[in-house]
Amino acid sequence: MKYKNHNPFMVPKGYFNILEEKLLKKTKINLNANAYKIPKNYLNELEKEIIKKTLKISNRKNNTKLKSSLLALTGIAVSITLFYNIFTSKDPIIIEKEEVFEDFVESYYMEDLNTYEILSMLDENDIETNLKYSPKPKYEN
Amino acid sequence: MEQQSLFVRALKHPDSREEAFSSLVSEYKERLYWHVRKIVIDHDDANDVVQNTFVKIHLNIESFKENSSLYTWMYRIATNESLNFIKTKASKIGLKNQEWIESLAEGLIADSYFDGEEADLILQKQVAKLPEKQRIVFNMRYFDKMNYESISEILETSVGALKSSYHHAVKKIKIQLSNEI
Repeated sequence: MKYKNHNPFMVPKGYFNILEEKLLKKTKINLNANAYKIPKNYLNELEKEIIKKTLKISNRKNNTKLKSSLLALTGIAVSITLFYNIFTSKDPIIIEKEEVFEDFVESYYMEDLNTYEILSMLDENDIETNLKYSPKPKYEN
Repeated sequence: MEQQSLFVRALKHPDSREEAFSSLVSEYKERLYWHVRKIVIDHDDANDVVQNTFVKIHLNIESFKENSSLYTWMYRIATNESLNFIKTKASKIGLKNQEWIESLAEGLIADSYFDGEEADLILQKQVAKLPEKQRIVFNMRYFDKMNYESISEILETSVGALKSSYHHAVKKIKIQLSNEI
């Protein structure tokens, strides 16, 4: 309405309705004849491409199923082996005292314990309270 | 409907799936392509979207409950795929969806896969200016001549809302076209 007030030009009554009809009719014909184009033979190629893609997905799906079945079977086999070894073994494992000591020494070097840490591991009885020391040597003139 | 059920059963059954899917692609590839193309405008984009659509159909056919027709279900997937595609592509470039579509419509003149006349170009540019939903409704109703009931099923919107959407779209285009001339 604002535009109309400032517009000195006029059009015949109902002009825009006719114009719209004409324009839409024209574009409808053109667009139905398809203004959008596609490459030659595109639709056949599209079909092939889709089939190829979906076949790949189907194969992948089947492979995944096979893999998970194999994984489950392997898991069961490992569990059975472990179960058998743990509960049917007749020879108890004997650990020698010396072996334990060796392990302790080994872990001392491996873990890089400091003197205070070693001290804390010892019983109080193991620590000598009377320190023995050598007196200072006397130098003769 | 019974024929469709048999076909869907064939699509769901592993032994007949590939053959049934092949005939599904053969039957619907063109219709879905044009539906997608009108939404995304560019041919290469439409090609990507239509391929993704069929892959999705293939992957999800087992979850298709037959509450709607197969055709409606496929159209719905294609529409959603197209809208998601636009969203992703526009956000990558830092544009709003509408800005992206308008820029594509502006570039139609140089598009080797578009050979419309000036009037086609003007109309496409005006359609691109419509809000997303109105644009889709306008495309489906005006270009594809689909009835409101089918559009309603695909877009999951009431017939009344669609009629209003289409009416608004036509009104806007009418005003814009009269301003162009």
